[in-house]
Amino acid sequence: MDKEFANWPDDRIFRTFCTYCERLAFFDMLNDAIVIVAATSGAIMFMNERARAMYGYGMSETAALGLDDIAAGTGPGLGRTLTEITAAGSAGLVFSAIRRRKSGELFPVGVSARQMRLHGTEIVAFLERDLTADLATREEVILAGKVQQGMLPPDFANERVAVATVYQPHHHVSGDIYDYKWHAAGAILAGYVADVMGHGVATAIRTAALQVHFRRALETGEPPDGQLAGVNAAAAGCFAADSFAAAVMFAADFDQGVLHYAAAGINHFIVYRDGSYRVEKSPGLFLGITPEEEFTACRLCFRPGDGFVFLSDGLFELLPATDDYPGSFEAMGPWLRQVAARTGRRDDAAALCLMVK
Amino acid sequence: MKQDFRVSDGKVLVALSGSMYVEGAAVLRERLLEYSDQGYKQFAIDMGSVDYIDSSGLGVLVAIHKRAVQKGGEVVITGLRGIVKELFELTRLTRVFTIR
Repeated sequence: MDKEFANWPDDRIFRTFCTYCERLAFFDMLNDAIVIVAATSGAIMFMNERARAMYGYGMSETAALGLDDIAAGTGPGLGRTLTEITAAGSAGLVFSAIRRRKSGELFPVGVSARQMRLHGTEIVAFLERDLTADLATREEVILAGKVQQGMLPPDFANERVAVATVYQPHHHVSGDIYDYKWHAAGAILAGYVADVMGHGVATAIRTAALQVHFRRALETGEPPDGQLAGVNAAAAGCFAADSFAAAVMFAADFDQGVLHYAAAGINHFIVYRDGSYRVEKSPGLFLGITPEEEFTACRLCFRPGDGFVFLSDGLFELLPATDDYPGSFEAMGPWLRQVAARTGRRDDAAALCLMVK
Repeated sequence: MKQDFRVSDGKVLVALSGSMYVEGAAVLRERLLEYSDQGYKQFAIDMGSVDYIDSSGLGVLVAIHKRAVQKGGEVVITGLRGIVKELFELTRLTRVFTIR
């Protein structure tokens, strides 16, 4: 009999283990916490080294523990009962639970549990992972996402134009951004939609840096092609070896009824007129590839009742044929928000919808 | 999306076929970056059998191009046709890659 189990009560299976194998040493090699519990009584029969470190108990202390000593209870978010796990049979259950350390501190774990027979005894084995650090990171990312969203402008309307915004990060933070500025003196709405390659935290950081350059560009009052060239040159340092961004910039002159725009990888936008839609295409290389790139200046005349949607690829690729767009342009913003919020989306999504009044 | 890779005379030869979406792009990116990390800087990508490529696919090609150029190499694209060719022209990637 293993020396360390010599003083364990008789109902602990490890007391009856043979001495000619080292199965417990094998459990101690694993990087996940393993807790083995008697299926009927809930008595803890074994904790591997990782589990003992996680819960704060020494080997000899675990002999006197039951599941109730480490579980904060059962119910939604707290954990599953032994009966539920046993009922799941060999399929087992995967769930999250709240556990209690020896110090009394409660902490979250991810659990995979199933009933099995070990050395002739019915047991329930718990494979557990401490989620404290994961949840802290997740909370940080969620917070970063809120900060990022807070830096984007809200919907806007005046007597000349209504702007509806769409923003849906793939995972809390986004590589998509947009902004606009109303120049009241010239009755010009200037803005952009940009999409930094990738998604996630690293992309979001690059996006924040790029946002500064776009904001400066909007202040210049230059035509969109010049603004894009300026952003492309200034933002060269934002792009690491294999990153780049797509963007489209526009300036809608409401006195002249002319939309000026230039594309840099977002090479399409949606035009609405007289109840129908079409996709307008314009050429332009991505940002961050060649620092001295020149972008093509394009223009389009508009009149009251027209609408434009500038959008990232992540959203454009989700759209059906233009015949299936909403009948009224006023419904476009809410409709795009619904499309962007659909499950199964694989990229960030963002759009600016402009309705000419 | 089918992807075939082989190395000849120090050049990585890639033959793609089918439609490239985000999942296929991720696999392609992984493989190409693996070659890049091993020191390869010349890539020839045959896209003659590619029917469609989305922005994630273009992203992978641009990423490997940037890496290759940094190391003094290049990415040669062959066989562009149909909407894939149109997309390369629209995004002006025809001026970035060596197109044959």
